Amino acid sequence: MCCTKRLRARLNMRMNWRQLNNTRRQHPVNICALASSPTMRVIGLFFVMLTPAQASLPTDSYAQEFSHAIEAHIGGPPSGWQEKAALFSNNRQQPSLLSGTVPLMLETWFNLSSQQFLVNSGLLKNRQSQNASRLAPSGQYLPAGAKVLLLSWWPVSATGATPIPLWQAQQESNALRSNGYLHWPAVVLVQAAEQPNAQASSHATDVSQVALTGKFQTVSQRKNLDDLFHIPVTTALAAHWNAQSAGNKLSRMVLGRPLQSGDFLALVAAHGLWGNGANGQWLTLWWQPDRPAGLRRLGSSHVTQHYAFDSCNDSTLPREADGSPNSCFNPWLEGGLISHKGVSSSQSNCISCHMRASIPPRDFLTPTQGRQTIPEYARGTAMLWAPALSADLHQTVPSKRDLPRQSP
Amino acid sequence: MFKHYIDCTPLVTHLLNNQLVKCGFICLLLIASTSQAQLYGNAVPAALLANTQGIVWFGTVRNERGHFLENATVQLDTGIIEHVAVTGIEGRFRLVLPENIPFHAVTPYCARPGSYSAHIQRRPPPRGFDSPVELQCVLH
Repeated sequence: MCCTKRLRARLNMRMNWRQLNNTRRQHPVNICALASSPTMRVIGLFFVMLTPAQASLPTDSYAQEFSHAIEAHIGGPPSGWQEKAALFSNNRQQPSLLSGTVPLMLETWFNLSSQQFLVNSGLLKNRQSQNASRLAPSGQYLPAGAKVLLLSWWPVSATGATPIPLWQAQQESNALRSNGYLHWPAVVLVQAAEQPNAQASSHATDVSQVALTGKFQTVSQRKNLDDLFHIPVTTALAAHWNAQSAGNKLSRMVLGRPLQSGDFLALVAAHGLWGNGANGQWLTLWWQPDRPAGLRRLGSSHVTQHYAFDSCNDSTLPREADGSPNSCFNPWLEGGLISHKGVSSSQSNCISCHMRASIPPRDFLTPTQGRQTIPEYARGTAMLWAPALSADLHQTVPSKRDLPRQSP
Repeated sequence: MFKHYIDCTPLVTHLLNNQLVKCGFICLLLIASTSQAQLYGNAVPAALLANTQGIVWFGTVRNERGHFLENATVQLDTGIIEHVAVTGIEGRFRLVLPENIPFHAVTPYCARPGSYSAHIQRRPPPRGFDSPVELQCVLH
C-alpha cells in the first residue's frame, strides 16, 4: 500500500484511491513490483517532470525552423525559392505614388515544393507549356514540405541613425481606428555598427525627437542594426526597390531619399506558411526590442530574442481567455486594417483570413476570426492570396452567371 | 410617370448590356472601399487605389527660406485611417480622400528627415464646395 501511494505521488495522476484499489482487484498485478522496475520508474519520472515549457516543444521547433528559413534568406535566396513577382508575372499594376497607400517593402517567396503544388493545382501557369491550366477543385492544401515566406523590410541608412516605429500592445484598446505603423507613438533609433564617427555624430543620433513618416516623434530606445536580421543593399537591390512604388515611397518617407547602395534593409516583420496537407502551420514574427510581457520570443540568440513570435494551425482553437476564437496577428502587416463586425486587427487570425482566398478575390482587407467560407461560385486558391489577387487565373473562373441556376 | 418609366426600359437594357457601363459601375463600387486600402497596398489592385473621385488635398512643403522640399512626407489622419503622400521634385503633393470625410475632421502632419518642427496652414475649399483643400507646410 505504501508503495502504491509513492507511485501515485510520482505519477501525479488524478486517480483516487478507490479507483486504484478497484483496478488492483480487477487486474491482479503487483503494482509494487511494477513501480520498482527501472522502466516504470523512468516513465514515472518522465510524467512527473513534464512541464508546460516542454509541452510547447513543437511551437519552439517551428520558431527555430522559421528563424533558420529567414537566416537562409538573409544570405541570399536559397536554391529553388522564387519570389512572387517572378511566378505571377501578370500581377496587377502597383498603386501610383500619388495614392495615399501606406507602403511596406514586401517580398513573398515560394520554395520548390510550393511552386510544384501551384503548377499541379492549376494556380500557377506552367511556363513550359505556356497554357493556362485549369483550376483544381477548391479545398486543396499545401502539402508537407511546401513553404511560403513573406518578408517585410525597413530601409536603414548606412550613416546616421534611422527611426523605426515601435508597436505597443496597450495601444490596441482603440479598435475603431487603424493602428498601422504610422499611428505608433514610440520610435527606436537604429544605427549601423560600422560608421565613421564624424558622420554618425552629425545625424540624428543625439536628438530626442525625430521626423518619421510625416510626424515628429520621441525616441524611446536606441539599438544597433545587429539586433535585427538585415541585408546590405547593393546597387542592383537599390534599383529593384526604387523601381517599385512601395519601396520607393517608403525609402523616401524614412530616409528622405531613394534607397542607395551601402544602405541596409532590416527585417521588421515576416509571415511563414509551412504546409502539412491540412490548414498548415502559420508562423509570424515582428521586431519588438522592448520585450513586453506576454509576447513569445522567436529564440534566445542575439538577434532572435529581439523578435516576437506567434503561430497557429487552426482558425478558432485554442480559444482566447475571453472565449473568442484564437487570434494570431502581426502588428506590422495587419495593424492598419480597420475593425469589421466587431473584430479588430489584433483579434484577427491568419488562417481565418486566408480561408477566404479565392477567385474572384473578396474581403482582402477585412480582419476576421473563426472559421470562414468562400462563396459557392468562387474557387479556393489553397488558402493563398497571391494567386487569388493575381490576374493570371481570372479568365479561367466561371462567372456567377455561368453557374447552373438552382431551383427555388 | 409610370408610362415614362416603361419607355425608358430599352435604354436601361441597352446600358446594362454595355460592357463599358458595367465596368464603370464596378469601378464605382470598388472606389467606395478605397479607404481600407492601406497596408498590403502593393497587393491591392491599382483600380482600387486610383481614386479620382473625392476630396482633393493638395499643397506644398517648403523650408523656412521658402525653398520647395522634395521627399517630405505629408500625412492626413482622418481619425479612422491615415493617408500618406511624399512630395515630388517640386515640393508638391496631392491626395484624394473619400467624399464622406469633411476637411475639418482631418488632422494633417508633415515632416522630413533632418527637420525639427512644422508649421501647417490649411485653406478650406470655396464656400459651398467640399473640395479642394490646400495645405501649406513650412519645415524648420
